[in-house]
Amino acid sequence: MTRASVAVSVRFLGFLGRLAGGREARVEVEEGATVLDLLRRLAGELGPGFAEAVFRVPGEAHTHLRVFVNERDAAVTDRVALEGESSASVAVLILPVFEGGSR
Amino acid sequence: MTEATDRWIPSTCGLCYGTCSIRAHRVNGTLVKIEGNPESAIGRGRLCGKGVSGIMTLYDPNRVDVPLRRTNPVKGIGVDPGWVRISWDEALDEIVNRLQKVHAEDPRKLFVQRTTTNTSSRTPWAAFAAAFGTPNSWAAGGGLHCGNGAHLINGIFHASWSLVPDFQHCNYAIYFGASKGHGAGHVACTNIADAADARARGMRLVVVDPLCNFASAKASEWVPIRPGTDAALALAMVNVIVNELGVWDAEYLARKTNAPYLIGPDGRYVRSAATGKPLVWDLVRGRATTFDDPDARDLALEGEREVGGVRARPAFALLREHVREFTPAWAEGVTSVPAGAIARLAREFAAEARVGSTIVIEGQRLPYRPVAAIYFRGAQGHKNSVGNCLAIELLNQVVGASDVVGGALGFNPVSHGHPETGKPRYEPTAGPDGLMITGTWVAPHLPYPFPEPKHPDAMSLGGLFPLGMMGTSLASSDQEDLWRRFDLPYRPEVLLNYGANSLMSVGNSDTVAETLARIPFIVSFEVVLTEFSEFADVVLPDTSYLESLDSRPNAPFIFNHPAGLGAWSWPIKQPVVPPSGQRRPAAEVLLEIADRVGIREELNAAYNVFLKLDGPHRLDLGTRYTYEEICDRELRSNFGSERGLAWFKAHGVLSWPKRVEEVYWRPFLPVRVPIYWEYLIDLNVKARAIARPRGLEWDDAYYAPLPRWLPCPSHQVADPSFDLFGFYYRDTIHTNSFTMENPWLDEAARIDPFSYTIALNATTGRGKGLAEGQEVWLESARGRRVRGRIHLTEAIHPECVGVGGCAGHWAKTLPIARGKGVFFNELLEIDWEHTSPVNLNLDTCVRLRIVP
Repeated sequence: MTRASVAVSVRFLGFLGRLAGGREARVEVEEGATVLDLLRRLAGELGPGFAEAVFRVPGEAHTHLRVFVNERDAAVTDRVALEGESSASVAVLILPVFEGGSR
Repeated sequence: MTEATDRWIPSTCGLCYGTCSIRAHRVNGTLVKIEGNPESAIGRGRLCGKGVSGIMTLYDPNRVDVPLRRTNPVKGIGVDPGWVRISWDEALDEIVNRLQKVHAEDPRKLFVQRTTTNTSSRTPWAAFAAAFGTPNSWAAGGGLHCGNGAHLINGIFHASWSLVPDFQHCNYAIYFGASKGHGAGHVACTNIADAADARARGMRLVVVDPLCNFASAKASEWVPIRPGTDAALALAMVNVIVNELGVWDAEYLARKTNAPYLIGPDGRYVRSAATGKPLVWDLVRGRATTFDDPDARDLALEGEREVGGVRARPAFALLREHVREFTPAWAEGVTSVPAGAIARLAREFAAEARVGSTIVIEGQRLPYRPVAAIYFRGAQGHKNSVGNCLAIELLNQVVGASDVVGGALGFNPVSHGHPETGKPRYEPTAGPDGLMITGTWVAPHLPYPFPEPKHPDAMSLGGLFPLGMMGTSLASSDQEDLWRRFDLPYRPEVLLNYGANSLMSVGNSDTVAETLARIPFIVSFEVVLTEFSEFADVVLPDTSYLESLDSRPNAPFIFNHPAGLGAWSWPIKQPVVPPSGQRRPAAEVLLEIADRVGIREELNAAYNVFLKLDGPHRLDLGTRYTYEEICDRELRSNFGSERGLAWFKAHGVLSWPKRVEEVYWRPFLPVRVPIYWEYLIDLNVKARAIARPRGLEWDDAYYAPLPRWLPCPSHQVADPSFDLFGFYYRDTIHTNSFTMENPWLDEAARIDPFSYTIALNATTGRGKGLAEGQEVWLESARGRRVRGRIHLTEAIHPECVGVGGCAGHWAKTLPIARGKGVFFNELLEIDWEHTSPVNLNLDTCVRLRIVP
């Protein structure tokens, strides 16, 4: 039995837009797909530069990566869409390093 | 007088990143006095000399009051920019046009630089950089001097930015180049009170430092040491403790560290074939099992066993063997500390640790280890900062004095939140291989787990060095060479500077000036015009900390909130007086710039993450907010709808009691820390494979899993005429280079015999025919020179010269600071040779000679 698909509107925030070749993309994922599934799919399509920015090691997202599903913080294990929903809006953001100690 | 004309306003100090809570007395619209706020745990009513002098910074007649544009296209040190006044509209039009171009071409061309003096700038600037899409940001010398190593090790071992002894219960503290509790840095005023109480209670304090400075002058014992050799002393002490005295906390090491992990002949963990998890040896069952096996009761710390076809030994056994060569006699040769003294210090530390003892605190029986080894700027400010700090931290680890009663405490690694809302809530968790991940961090880039080294695409080369926070190549003499080696596909085109004076705060000014002169457009948010301002194209008039708002001056708690039992306090910073002239708060200006550049969604998303906004308090990505609204949402999100900005403006601070399991958290959480840095082996292999083909000089020694002392470049100068080690130290009267223009602090510094002088050992000085007050040149082996007055003193190592703070301003716009004190950083090289190849730390000691 074929699983239903979910249309995902992805917005690449900050410098991910440069690595993704644009600030927005539309992809389809299987119903039940997780955020990690989506990131793997994007990394496969967008190339090693994007993959390195997203994954600390293959398959494990950086701690400074933030993903928002329908404007809510999402863990990589969260589903992209709730059961029965056919679309989702996802935003991905990388936060930079920024601290030190002198003027 | 009425409430309107005579008010005490609760707020937060901004003259250093200690950010003590204050009360400001305003009469008829004029600020007349600043005191500590007794209702806050941050300072507990105490305030240092800097804090009370803030009134003079607020009313400095040389404040920048209007936007300025330079008319002189030539940039250089001492070159008059030819400032002309412009309107805010003109200034922002020009800035936005430049930023829009850069954003369209490549957002990495934006370089963001900010001061660490003003902590309120951290979140707005980090959010803006993230939203814009640039990885190129730094704190203009911060990190390179003080934090790349110390904060890293604190994060890995204590889940915190900084470290203090448990002042309430510690009986024996040994400081390595640290001043916690003696006048500077994170939550300085509370620490001062706590340290004084601890000393009165009987805590013995030993200070290892080339200078008998603020901490050592009040210590039980001062141990003069050659700069940059702290690792040698600490490793010799560890050797005495574990090999001569046979003292270690087996229970702690087995359960809370990777000491029992079995290490194979290749130096790596021996792992389970089934799960990939590191193996340990269960002495009860006589077999190997995974480190997290709940049935493993007695884990081996010693011996050698056949596991999975290889001979394997526990990491702790390797540590014991590793330190055997670091005898006190060897360490004496490196550090100049007598071998007998090293052995005695080790014996004292081991005995006072009372390994195995417990104590009841608020009804709970807890491990009691009343010793602490504390390290900061002095130990960390070297090329081998990781090795120095790790070696010292091992002292805490072998005796189990880590976040338990009496031991070395991270600043607040665990928070269960306000009793009514449970926020802010965080605690360390177990990450890859069971090793600890911090519950919160100052930057989003956690100290562990490390990312894979990759070909760098940031100005700092940061991607290649996962342990580093900041990199020297943001302002180094070999910057262009390094960028070419790694084919950096862009160059910085716009620099946004917030209050930093990188001409003085990084290293020698010539090198920094060269890097700044190559950046086509520089904008600087300034309170007063400094040496840096001479390189700006546009200057924007900033509000001071007494004219601006911040909902989180002491967040996160791991940065500058008192450790130990007591109260949590969440204060705000609020305007005490309205801004004069055309001054505007930078956080508001950034919101406007973001809107006009077209990155509002990104900026709101970044604020949602940084401020952990949730529920109805979350920012809608498409809506334009004021900074007041954002601050209000953060406060309501954390403390409930009734405690928004209006509540905090009236009350100033919200406090609640700490729990025992928040402060002495180590026994309660199933996390381990690495006494053996196995991961460095693979990091080295991967990073070296990227670096060496590009011709980058590489030294594997910095990637060893167990620490060693490694010499600084200053130790390797062959010319005997350069016979002194120069270093600078934090002057408690001043904050970095920022406060010298304050007339009260300047007066205090002129009275102080150390602040504006070159401290030289009296015997050494007389041997050279030098007299008290004599003007001399300090000259480095590279020919860099600074001039200053000698202060002869017994309170400094005979091989050293010490310079206080970051003085020696030359800008004509700083009439009080100009010509006062010594600009030590002028002697520092900024290049790869003086950079750590593991965490990008800059070496800040230098071999010198004195030239009359």
